[in-house]
Amino acid sequence: MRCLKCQEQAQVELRQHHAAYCRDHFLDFVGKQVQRSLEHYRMLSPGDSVTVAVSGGKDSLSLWDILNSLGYRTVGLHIQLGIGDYSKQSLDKTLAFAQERGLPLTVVSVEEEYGASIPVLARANRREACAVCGLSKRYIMNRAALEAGTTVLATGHNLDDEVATLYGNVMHWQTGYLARQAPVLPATHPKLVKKVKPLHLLTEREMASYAILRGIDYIVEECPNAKGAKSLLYKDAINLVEVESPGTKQQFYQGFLERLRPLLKDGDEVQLRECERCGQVTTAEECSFCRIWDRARLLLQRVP
Amino acid sequence: MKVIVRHPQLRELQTNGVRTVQDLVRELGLNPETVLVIRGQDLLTRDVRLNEDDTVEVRSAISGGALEGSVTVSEAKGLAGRRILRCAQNDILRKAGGAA
Repeated sequence: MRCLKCQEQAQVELRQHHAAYCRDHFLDFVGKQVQRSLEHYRMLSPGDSVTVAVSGGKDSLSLWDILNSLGYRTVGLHIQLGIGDYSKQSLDKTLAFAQERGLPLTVVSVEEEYGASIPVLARANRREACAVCGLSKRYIMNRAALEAGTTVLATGHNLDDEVATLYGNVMHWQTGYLARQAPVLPATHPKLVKKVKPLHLLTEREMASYAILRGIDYIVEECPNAKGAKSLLYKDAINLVEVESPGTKQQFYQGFLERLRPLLKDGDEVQLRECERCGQVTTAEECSFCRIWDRARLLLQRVP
Repeated sequence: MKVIVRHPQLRELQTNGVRTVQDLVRELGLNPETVLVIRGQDLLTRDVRLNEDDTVEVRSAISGGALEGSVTVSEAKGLAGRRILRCAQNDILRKAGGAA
């Protein structure tokens, strides 16, 4: 298979685009796709400083690499979740990436900051680890981005992530969630930072290809808590369709953004206020983050 | 040929004969949309021919790894597909001496 641009040996085939590219032209393709998204969806403006949430995985490290290559001012944010060896490896990969490139990185350890690990938090609340982990990460990312003085928070959600979320929301007709699914979430409160997903049009396979071809050493092993997650089931189902009908993922997602989403109104519009304890944005007197972490600390007091 | 599979658990297989990347992925029962095949520093497209003395890595491209025991394309196409797939997998496992 030959590169569409230069006729050299291709390394990545993009069946949905009827194209294949060599290393350099593929990396160029990814950079242009991200730049196009940044511009089309007005994700970043001149003068913006960006907190990039980095887990140590292929998507977030690649995103940091791309934004840095495009000349944006970035700060990395890594959250240590206390999930055994997986978290240790994630930190090692992230630190090595930042050090090699001389990029600023903030590390927040949930055990040091809030007194417990994610597994303890899940046990204390009798909830799935992914649920309390997601809630905690969203809170910490927003807070850390604001405290760092940055204007935008960028996450490495790729097309497959967005399609899996969309699929799940359609399957259960979660119209409220559908209305809020977007590549850009504006800052609707002084204590909420603008959130963007610059990789939302690139597939997971494209991002893994990018990371490998750029020599990015990312954590390949899965989070032990992800095993059996619904999102993975949805990804499997969607990829069964994609392999037989290339381009389905992109059509499904872009069709949603262009045709359905403009018709949806967020029916759950609520009054935002500040949590009486931590001062972060919530809809109640006390935010969910404070409540769930209280339970974790209580559990540790009872069972040290 | 030495095949290192990280999908999601790490395992190593040894197999004989020349085949294409597409054949290898099919024989492993994996969805080509969810994996990358790597030789040295290079990513391989599905038409590349693999040789006996190659060492390749088949790596999951899906975060967290695909679900274990997930349905493959061949399986979705019916029992005949499943039979062929199992034969191919057994063949690879037999050649690997049951190491996987």
